[in-house]
Amino acid sequence: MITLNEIQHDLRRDFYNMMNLIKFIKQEDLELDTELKSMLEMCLERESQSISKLDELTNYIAGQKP
Amino acid sequence: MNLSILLVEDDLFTQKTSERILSRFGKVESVSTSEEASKLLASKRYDLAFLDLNLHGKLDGLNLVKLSQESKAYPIVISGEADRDIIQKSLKNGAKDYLIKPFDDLKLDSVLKRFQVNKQEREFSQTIRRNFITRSNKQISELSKIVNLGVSDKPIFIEGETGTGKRVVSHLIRDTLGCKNFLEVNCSQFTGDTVRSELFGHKAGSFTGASADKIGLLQKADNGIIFLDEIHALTLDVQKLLLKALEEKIFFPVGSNIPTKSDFRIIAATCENIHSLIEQGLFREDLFARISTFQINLMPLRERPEDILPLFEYFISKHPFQIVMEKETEEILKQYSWPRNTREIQDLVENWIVNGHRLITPEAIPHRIRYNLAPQKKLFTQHQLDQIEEKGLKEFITEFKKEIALEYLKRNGDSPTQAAKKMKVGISTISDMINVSKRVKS
Repeated sequence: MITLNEIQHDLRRDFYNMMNLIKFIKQEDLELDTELKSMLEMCLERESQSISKLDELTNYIAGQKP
Repeated sequence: MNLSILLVEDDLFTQKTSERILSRFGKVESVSTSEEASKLLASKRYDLAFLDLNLHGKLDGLNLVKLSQESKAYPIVISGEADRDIIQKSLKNGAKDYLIKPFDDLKLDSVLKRFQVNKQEREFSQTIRRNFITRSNKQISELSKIVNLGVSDKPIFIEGETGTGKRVVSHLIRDTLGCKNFLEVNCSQFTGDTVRSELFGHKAGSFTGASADKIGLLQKADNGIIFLDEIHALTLDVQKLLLKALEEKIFFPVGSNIPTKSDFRIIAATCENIHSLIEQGLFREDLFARISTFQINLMPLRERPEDILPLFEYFISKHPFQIVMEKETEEILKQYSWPRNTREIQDLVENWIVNGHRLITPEAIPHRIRYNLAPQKKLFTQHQLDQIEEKGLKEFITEFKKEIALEYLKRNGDSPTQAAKKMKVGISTISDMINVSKRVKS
């Protein structure tokens, strides 16, 4: 059975990968419509906030481990 | 940077993103299993190996750390587990660094910086091995300081007995710093004030024989390095002038009142005990403080006997003759203390060549070496001999004993018991050594 620890591990990994993907798309300077561009910016602005929340979750789960 | 990088990551999405991030440092090859990675490590040469520790639910990454090391790749562990135990285990297995996922560009940059420093140190260690015959890790570690000497232009002081390779080290520094303007001078080859004129130059007519202007070595060393070998041979007057020139990078040629500017760096060396010379007032303490910002100490051969036979091999290889040593000969050579260090080995090899010795039996070894009759270091200095003549032997010995007793007390936290134990005498003897001196004086 998949444990909470494994779930947070996978979540962190995928979050990290998706954030990188967003950065790659931004670097490519693709022709995106204005709304999509602003959504991308919002996503990147929230990165550090989301990482701290993930860290909190990780610490909480680590504290729950026997 | 154009590095060759191996990336081992079992999650395809992570593999693709990591590959893209790492590609700014060079060519990346990615695999997802331990087997594929092992094959690549065995057949190709990589600069860096980024290894995920947890591959398909197993900790296979740890084996890959060892394999990477064997194939001379720099292993960096990447892991989603912020688990100290796993990281410690991987570092014990030879991982050079680690990254915890998710990692950002900043963390990756510092890992790469550490890799560059490590690479530079490894390359330099090879340069040392090529240029300086030594197997002593202690000596190599001392010489490794050279790699960082480029961060400053302060003087460098090389201390070592005769024949320990001070000149070789000065050349190693020159090559490491990429110095194009390198001058060397043996201060002991000049007599009287000649050295002053050599170093600072002179004006025509400033002394008998000065028929034309002469440019000094310090001026010639502008934007370069001057190696002052046997610096202890400089007179106190010249030492004072050199100190001023070092501080201000300005000096006056002999007979001139026009200052000369020169931006030179000094490497100084001596085979003498400079601290003893300072105590005797023969070398300026302020000059020593100035020239010894960076110090490199060269060990005598008796402290690194593992270098004796490799040095013989080196000097023999410089001649077109085949020389073979008997096992017994090697043992005798290893036992000797080589007071003149490499120079003595070089002379012995030359002697064998000239005398036509090709198979070196113990009989071909001079008597003093064969029976380990190296001249012992003298117990007294010239200064002490002068003191004996000045005060008389009896008073000198009394004071000498007192100095020894006080020194041992100081070294042992003023404990007479400890000092007496170290000196292998009774406590009353120490007391006598101090008090007799008082009685003699009163």
